[in-house]
Amino acid sequence: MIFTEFRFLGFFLLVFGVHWLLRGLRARKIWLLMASYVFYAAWDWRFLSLIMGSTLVDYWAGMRIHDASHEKSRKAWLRLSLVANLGMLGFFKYCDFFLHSAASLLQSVGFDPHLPTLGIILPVGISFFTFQTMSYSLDIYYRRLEPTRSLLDLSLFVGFFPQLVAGPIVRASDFLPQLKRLPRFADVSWQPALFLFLCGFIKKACISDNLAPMVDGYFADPSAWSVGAAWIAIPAYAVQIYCDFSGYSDMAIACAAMLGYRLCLNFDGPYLAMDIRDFWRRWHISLSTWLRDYLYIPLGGSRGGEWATQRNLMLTMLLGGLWHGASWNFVVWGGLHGVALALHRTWSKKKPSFSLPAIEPVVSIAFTFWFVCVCWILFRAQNFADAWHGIQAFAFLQSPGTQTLPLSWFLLFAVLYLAHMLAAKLRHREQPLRVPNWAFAFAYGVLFALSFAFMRVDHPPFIYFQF
Amino acid sequence: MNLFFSRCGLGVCFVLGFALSSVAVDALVPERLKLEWFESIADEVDVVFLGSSHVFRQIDPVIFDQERQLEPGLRAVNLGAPGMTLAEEMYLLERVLAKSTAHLRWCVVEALPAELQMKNAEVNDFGKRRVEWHGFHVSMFLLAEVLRSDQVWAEKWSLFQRHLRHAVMHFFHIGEGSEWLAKTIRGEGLAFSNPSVFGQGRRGYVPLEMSTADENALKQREEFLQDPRLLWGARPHLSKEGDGGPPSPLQSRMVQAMEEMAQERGVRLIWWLHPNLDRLSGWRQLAKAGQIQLIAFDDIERYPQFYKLRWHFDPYHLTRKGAEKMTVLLAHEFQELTQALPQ
Repeated sequence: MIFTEFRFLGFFLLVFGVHWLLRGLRARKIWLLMASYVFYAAWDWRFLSLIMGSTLVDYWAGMRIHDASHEKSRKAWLRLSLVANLGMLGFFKYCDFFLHSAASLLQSVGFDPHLPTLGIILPVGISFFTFQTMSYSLDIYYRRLEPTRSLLDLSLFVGFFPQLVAGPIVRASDFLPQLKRLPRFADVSWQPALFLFLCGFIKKACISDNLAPMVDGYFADPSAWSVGAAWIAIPAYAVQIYCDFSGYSDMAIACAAMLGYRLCLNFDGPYLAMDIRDFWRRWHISLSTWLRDYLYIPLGGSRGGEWATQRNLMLTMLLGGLWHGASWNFVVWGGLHGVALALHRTWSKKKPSFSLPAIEPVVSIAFTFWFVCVCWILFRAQNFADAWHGIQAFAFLQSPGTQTLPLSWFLLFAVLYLAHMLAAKLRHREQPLRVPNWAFAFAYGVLFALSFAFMRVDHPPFIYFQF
Repeated sequence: MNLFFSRCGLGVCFVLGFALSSVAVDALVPERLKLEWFESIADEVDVVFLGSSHVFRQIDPVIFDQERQLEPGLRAVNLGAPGMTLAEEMYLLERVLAKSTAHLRWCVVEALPAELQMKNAEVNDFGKRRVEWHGFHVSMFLLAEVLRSDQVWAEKWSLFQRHLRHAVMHFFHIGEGSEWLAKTIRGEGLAFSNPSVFGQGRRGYVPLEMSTADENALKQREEFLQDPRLLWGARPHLSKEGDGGPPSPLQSRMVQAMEEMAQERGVRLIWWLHPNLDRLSGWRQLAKAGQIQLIAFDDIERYPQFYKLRWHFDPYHLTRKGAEKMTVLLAHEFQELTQALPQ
């Protein structure tokens, strides 16, 4: 069930209606949990057992970590939680990848290992909900969180359907307290929530899905396309993946808000970033903060000198890349970002004092965007050979291909970039924009009808569902 | 109470915005080219042909007009399109009648099987056409028929959803804007805007020849030439099958609805059975009961020439020459039938 499908609209209206009709807190939570499990079962009911299993393990481990009197046993219970979660993630997501990689490695040194790949189906959203459950156990271990004694609350925290399959990766410390109080209909900020939902819908259904055929055509064989085409298709992919993922996040946050819950911001105008560090403060915020808090800082963060900091950065980004998908492309993608972050760190310390204030922001934004686009080539290409063709065309302006794309795409990009800037400006306004309710309802109707006309008739799934 | 009215007011504002926007989009979205063309010449048309590739590829309105008595200034047009279904004919008839003038008197409609099923693909031109013909009345009719049908509930639900989905797509013009945008950027024409559908004489007829056949048709022809048994097999088959049996309830109701629709506008329907390889059920019995006027060419005794190999391009279509001869015969049969009908 995809957020842009009509059946999701039907599903959500039913969940929404019953949720607000129910009076009791417990009844509402049971209803939302049931709805969440139905939502997940619509993908594949068999994998519900994974969510339930993960919830039970962390419920139990969380209490044991908290109640254990010795540091040793606290560590043991934490280890159990991590092994269970990472084991599940490793088996379903990385087993075939590692087998395949091991076979290739052995082949390259002259062995013929005949390692079978298991053909394991990747359960939707597994990377997201395992990170959520791990953060719960880790927070208890670090004494940042009291474990919940309510299995219902923890189950809803893990399985809450708006963010279940593609985030934002919610922290227990943010969400569990919200489950303690009864949401009130009157407390919901309807205009922002509805507006955010529509924005997400437009981003996904009208922008991302419509760019997909052109981008897919390019990445099917980058060597066949000219340099000009690469300069259109690769930024188009940057727009596509942003609109796809942030569109999902917007709709997830909006759905949760309409049910009376608050989810964290996941994107904040990433293509307005002035440098790569700034980019990671704006892109997939819930993942980058997760990696910072549960990987980078425990590794030592920036406390152990320059070399150790750079190593920690690199490791975090490599693992962050691997989190995205079981492929070396993602690892290299993470590695490139790691290198860029490390270089940026060194550069910021030794940056010369001169600056050109008028053009510096423009140049910084353009250069950061260009670099992010180069990295996206690795993210999107089917293999390293294709990626290299794309990088040659986009970064070194060389391509044997002759196929072209119309330049009018640039006009569309300019419009989208302006909208991106405007959205960031609106988000950071001190006073939220207030529109009279009647005008808002009318404009909402107009935009909704127009967005239907501009959506694709098939509903391609969200790109991040595969992660 | 005030809160209730204020929320109702907001709902009205939303619906108003939605409806106004939909109307604007509706005005901007073009209809299929043949319908727009028909609208522009409606004042000159007295006969319209509706049907599948059997009509599109085989009925030449120019020859048809030459072979019948014709008031000056009037002519026949071919609005056939490959793969048309009875439901699509129903929608087109509705649109033709809405655009027609008093000159339109006859509508020759190919007798096709009545089905509620649809194939899955929605992204090709057939899919787009399917969304197009899910107009309000056709959709309501089909949805009611799905509920009435004696299929198992799971199948009913699936069919109901699919028809409803198409109706929603039609009503909200889903995908029209994105297609327009993509094609504008690529500098391509929109779907249904290919002028080749008019044919050389600009009457909507395009004979099936090597130069006009698409890849599928050429493949079908190649297979047919290698193994023409399908055509020969029809011979004993059609002789034995009698009148094809009674019409299905769906077929009867569809035909009745179309007949009533035409009657309201003073137009008569003539149903035409193409020289099919199988006998379609219901049509002969409907004609026998006086419910329809039928010209049946799937009569191998009466029209053996339609089943000769040299007249066939592939098992299902005649060559240009075959089509021309068939049009002559159709014109004569049409003339005979319409003259016999009370005015």
